[in-house]
Amino acid sequence: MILNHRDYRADSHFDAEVVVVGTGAGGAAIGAMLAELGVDVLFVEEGGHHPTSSFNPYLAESMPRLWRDAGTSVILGRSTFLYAEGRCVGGSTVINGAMTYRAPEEVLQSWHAQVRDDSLGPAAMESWFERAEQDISAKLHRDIAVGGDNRIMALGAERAGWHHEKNRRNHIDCVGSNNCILGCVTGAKQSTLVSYMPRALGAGARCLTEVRARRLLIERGRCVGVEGRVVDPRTLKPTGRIRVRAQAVVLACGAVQTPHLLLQHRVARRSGQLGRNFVTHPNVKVLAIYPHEIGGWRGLSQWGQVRQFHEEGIILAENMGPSGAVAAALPFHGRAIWQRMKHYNNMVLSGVLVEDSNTGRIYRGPFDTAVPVYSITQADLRQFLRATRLLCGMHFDMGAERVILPFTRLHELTSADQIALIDESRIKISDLELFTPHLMGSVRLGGDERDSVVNPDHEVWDLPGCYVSDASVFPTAIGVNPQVTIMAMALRAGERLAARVLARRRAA
Amino acid sequence: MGASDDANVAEVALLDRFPDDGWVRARRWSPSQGMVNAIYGLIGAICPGRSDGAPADKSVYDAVFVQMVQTFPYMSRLARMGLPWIIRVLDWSPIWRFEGVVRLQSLPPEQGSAVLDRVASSRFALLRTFVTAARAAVLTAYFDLPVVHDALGYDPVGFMRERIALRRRLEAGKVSEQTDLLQPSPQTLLAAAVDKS
Repeated sequence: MILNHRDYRADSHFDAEVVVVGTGAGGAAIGAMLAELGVDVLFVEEGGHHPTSSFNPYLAESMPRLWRDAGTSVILGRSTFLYAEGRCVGGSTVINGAMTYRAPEEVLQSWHAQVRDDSLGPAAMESWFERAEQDISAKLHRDIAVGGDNRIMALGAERAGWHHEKNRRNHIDCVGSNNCILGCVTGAKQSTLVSYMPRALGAGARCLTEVRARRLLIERGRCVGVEGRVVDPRTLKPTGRIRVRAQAVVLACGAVQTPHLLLQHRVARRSGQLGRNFVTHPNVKVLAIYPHEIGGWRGLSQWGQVRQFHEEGIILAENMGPSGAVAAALPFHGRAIWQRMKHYNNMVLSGVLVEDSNTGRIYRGPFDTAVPVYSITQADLRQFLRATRLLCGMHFDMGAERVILPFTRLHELTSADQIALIDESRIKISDLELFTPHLMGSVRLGGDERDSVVNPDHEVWDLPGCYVSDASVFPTAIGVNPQVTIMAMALRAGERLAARVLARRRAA
Repeated sequence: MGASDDANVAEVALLDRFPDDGWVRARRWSPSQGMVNAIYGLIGAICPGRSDGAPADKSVYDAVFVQMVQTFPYMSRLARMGLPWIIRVLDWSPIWRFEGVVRLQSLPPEQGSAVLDRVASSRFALLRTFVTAARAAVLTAYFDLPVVHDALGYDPVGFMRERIALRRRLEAGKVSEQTDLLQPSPQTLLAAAVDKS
C-alpha cells in the first residue's frame, strides 16, 4: 500500500515493527528483507511515487519530480559543486547510471581490520554481494544497447593500451534508451522502484510518500519512532504531522540527510564523529566534439570504465546526457553555446572520477537544511589534471576536433598539441567544475564507540533502536559506484535486525 | 496518485509531457515585474541569438521563462535565496563594471552576452560561479524545449518509442536483429581515428 498527501489527516499516527526512512538502495533493500522475513515494515519517503509510466526525457520537468532540490543541491568548499540525489520512491537508484561495482577487496579488508568484525571481511560479504546482484539482476549488456560514445571510449582505450572493463549494470534486457538519469523509460533498469519496493509491498509493507522525516521519537534513551511533516505539494510547505511508532527506526536517507536528521539529537557524543568522514568521489566532465556523427544520446549511459589507473584512484568513463544537461555543464553562453551545441549529435561526454584523499563534514544549517562541506586537495587536483590530459589525448587520437575542459580558466582545446596548456594554465582548485552523485561516509560504522557512530549491526551506539542503512555508514571511501555495496550491507544488517524483532515478538 | 497496491503500475513509459500520475505541481514563483525584466534580460544574453538556425523568437524565451519559474520552488533553499540575488547582480553588471549606465536587461542580447563573458572570466571565483549558475538555470530550460531538440536533430521521444518496442519484442522471446544495432559501427569510428601508422 502506497499513501500520499491526499490520504493523510492533519495529525496521523501509524504503528509498525520497523519504520524505514527512505526507499533508495539502502532503505528498500533492508525493508524488503525485513518484510519478506515477516516483519511489519512501514516506509517513510520524502518524494512522490512516480511509476515507470510517468518517465519522459524532459529534464526541466523530470528533475523537480525525481531529484532532490531539482538538481541544485550544492557542496560548499574551495570549489562549490553540485551533487545528485534522488527524492522519489526508489531514491537515487531511479536516477543513477545503474553501475553495480562491488567495493574492492582491499577496501573490505581495510574495513574488516578497522571494525574488527569478521562479517565485514571480503569472504563474509561475498554472499551478500551475490544476493544483492541477483535481486537487481546485475549483468553485462548485449550489443544492441551499445551506442557510438560507448564505442569511442572502448576503442580509444584499446588504442591507448588501457584496460577497459565492461560495466555490470542492474537491468533486464536494457536496450540503451539512455534516460537513466530521468528514470528508465523501458523499465529495464532494476532500480528499487521496480525491484525491492514491489517485493516489500508484496510482502505487506506500507509506504508513506511525500512525508519529510523531521525528528526521531526518543523515550528513556531509546528510539521508538519518527515524526515527519506532510509537505503541501502546491506550496511545498509542511502541513500535517505524521507520527510513526516502531520497535526500530532505520534511517536510509543518504550521506547528507541521515546525519542531518541525527545531528539534532546529539548522538555519538563519545566519538564526535557524527557528520564527519564525509566523502564524495568527485568527478569532472570532459566533452569531445567529433567531425562526424556519434549519436551519444542513443545507447547506454555508460558501457564500461577505463580501469588502467584505478589503483592510482582514477576512473575514466563516458556518460552522455540529455541536451539540457550537457549545455548546462558547458562554460559558454550566447552564440558560443550554439556553436558547440549544434554539434550535439557529434559529442562524447566523458568524465574523470577521482578517489577521495580528503574528508568533509555535514553541518546542520538554519531552516532545517543540511550543509555539506568538502574540499578536494592539491593531490586530487593533480589527479584531475593528469586524468583530463589522458582523456584529451584519447579523444584527439580518436579524431576529435575539439575538447571542452572542466576548468573555468581554460575552456577548450582544438588539437593534441594544446594539451600542454593544461599544465601551463596554473589551474587552481577553485577553477575545477566538479560534480558528484556518490556521497558516502558521515555516519561511520565501526567496532568501537570512541571512533564511530554506528556499531557493526548498524545501530547507533548511544541510541538503541535507531539503525542506519545507507552509504553514510561506509567506514572509508570505496572508490567505485556505491549502489551494490549499500545494498549488500543493507541485506546483512536486515537479517540481523529481523532476528531481533522476531525474537522480541516471540518473547512477547 | 491515491492509494495503490502495486509499486510498479506500468512496464514502460508513455513518454507524455506532464504525465498524469497524480503528482501535484507546486505553484510557480511569481517574481516582481522588475525581476521579470531582469530574468528576460539574462535569457536574451545567455540563449543563442537568431544566428545559425538557433530558435530565438519570443515564444521560445517565454517558454524558457515559464520553465525557470516552475522549477524555482523545487530548488534548494540556498538556490532559492541566491538565484534572485544572482540575477540582480548580473542585471546590474554593466554598471558595476563601469561599462555603461544601463542594466543588462536594456542591452541588445549580443552586448549583454559580451558583458557576461567578461564577468565569467573574472578573477573572483564567486562572480564566475554566478554566471555558471545563471547559465545552468537558463540553458537547462532552453535546451529542453522540443523546438530546440528539433533544431539539434535530437529526437529522444522517437528513439525511446523505438527502443521500448524493441524491448517488448525481446520480452516476447524474439531475437534482436542486425538492424537493431546502433550506429555508427566500430569500423566507421576507427576509420575516422588518427592514423598512427
